[in-house]
Amino acid sequence: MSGPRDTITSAVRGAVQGVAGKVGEVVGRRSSGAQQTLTVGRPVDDVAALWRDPAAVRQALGDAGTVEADGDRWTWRLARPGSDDPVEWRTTLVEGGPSTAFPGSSVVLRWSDPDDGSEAASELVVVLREAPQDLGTEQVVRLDLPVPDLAAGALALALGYRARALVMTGEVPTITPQPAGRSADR
Amino acid sequence: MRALVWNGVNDLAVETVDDPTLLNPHDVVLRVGLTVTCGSDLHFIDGYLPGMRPGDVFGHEFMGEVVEVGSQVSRTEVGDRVTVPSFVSCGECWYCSRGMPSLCDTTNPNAALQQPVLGYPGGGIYGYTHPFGGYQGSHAEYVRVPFGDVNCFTVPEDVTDVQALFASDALATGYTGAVFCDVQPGDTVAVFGAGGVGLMAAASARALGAGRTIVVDRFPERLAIARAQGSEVLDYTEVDSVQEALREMTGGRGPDSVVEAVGMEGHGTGVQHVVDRAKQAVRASTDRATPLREAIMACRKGGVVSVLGVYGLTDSFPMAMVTNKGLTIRSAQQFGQTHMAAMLEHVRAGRIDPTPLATHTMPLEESVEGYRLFKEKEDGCVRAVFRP
Repeated sequence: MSGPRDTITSAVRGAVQGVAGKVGEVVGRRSSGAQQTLTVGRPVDDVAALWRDPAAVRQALGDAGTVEADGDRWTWRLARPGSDDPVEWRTTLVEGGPSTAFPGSSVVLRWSDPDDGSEAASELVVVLREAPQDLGTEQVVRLDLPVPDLAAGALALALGYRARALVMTGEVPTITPQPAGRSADR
Repeated sequence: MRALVWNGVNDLAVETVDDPTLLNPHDVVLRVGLTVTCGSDLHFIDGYLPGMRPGDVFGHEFMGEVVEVGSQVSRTEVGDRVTVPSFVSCGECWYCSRGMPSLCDTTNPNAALQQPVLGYPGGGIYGYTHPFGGYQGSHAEYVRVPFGDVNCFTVPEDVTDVQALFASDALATGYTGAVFCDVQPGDTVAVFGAGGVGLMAAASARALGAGRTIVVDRFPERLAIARAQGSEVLDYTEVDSVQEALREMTGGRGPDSVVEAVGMEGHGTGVQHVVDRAKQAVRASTDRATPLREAIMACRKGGVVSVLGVYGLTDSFPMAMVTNKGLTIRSAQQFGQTHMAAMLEHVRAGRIDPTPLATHTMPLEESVEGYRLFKEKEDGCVRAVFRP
């Protein structure tokens, strides 16, 4: 039997190695496949407020999982394809302001496990910076999470896309539980 | 409720499925009054467009009555008779606020499926392939409409249900294509394809000031509708070259703009079309793009080619002709929300009338046969309208 930490470590290592194998390790940044940048037509403060709100982030996660927060300690339960058992990921949210690591950034939000110092440590980083021409906010979602590497890019986009929708419209686009493809008895 | 579902390539059935419900606070639920076939459905019915799943309720052109509204819906009311553009707009994002609702940045639940294909995901659409959102379609008794206040347009009393139905897509798409032509008073606009969209593009071009519209097709009954609505017509099977015929009809200048309203399963004549058919048959190409190439060839120098037909990954695209003739290519899925007020006003004034498109009307239970008639263009079928 392996514990949650082993599962996470194994999944994370697999994810990181998979991504790294494709695009190579680049000092100071991760695979572009697990990073998605979208422009959100609202001020940085509005977008940051959403990411600080566990209920809003839970909405943005959608069918990818769920998250609970106790202060700055956030516990994520992420869906695994083909499994009913989610991966649990315990993190601490650390917030920073403008950072030289992220040129032009106004807000940097980082969720990671402070006890995991390995190179393959999981993390979710959201970088917010003012967009040019009064377009609002450039929102960078960068993640190395305990999900299969092929899903990482898609999850980064889905998370960022839903967050943008939530900020812009107050709701997340969904077809659950009534997608076009029906499972109802016919 | 009863609904028409896609169970596989050329495998449709009317079945019982769950009723839609409100999922988001801006949603409304409509009782579908009328819903209609569209040529773009044929692409996934025939298996040329991937992304459908067995059991999908499809259909994206409809009108009906509002029966339920979400907590954040403020203008749309239960009982409203409305028409709904086929693409879902949020009304808030950069694209929606600039009049390009089908490019909406927020309404595609499956954006991650579409980004690898398009680079940037577009808006959601009812009852189409899953990269376009996976929303339940309109060939059903009820349909959920997100952002009801943005997407439901109350139908004026003097506009009929059938006219309102086609304002949802055939007219909306044709009108959008005509607007792309930047029609100047007296212009000549050629339209390739006399299906619902092409006929509405021609009517829209005239409503926007075109002096002449020339509709190109091969079906006599469709050309007859075009002629009855004020267009000149050209049966491409009766000429050696559409390009030459259009050039002769326009004093050697060529049409000021050309609307392509055919799409990936187009027909034509000549060697290139035979090659297209062969490549598509063995899945070496997604498209038979004869009409698109002809449109580019036929347009006058410096003109506009407005592409409304649905294509996949077209090859043999004559880029040299675009460059050397200084053409402008414009294309989009319809911007119905942007043009709805103007379209309905044209309909009320009698300048545009989509009514002749509804050649066949039948209960939803007969919709499988309706699609067969539509696909085979039997019995003069332009569009088969279903009444759930």
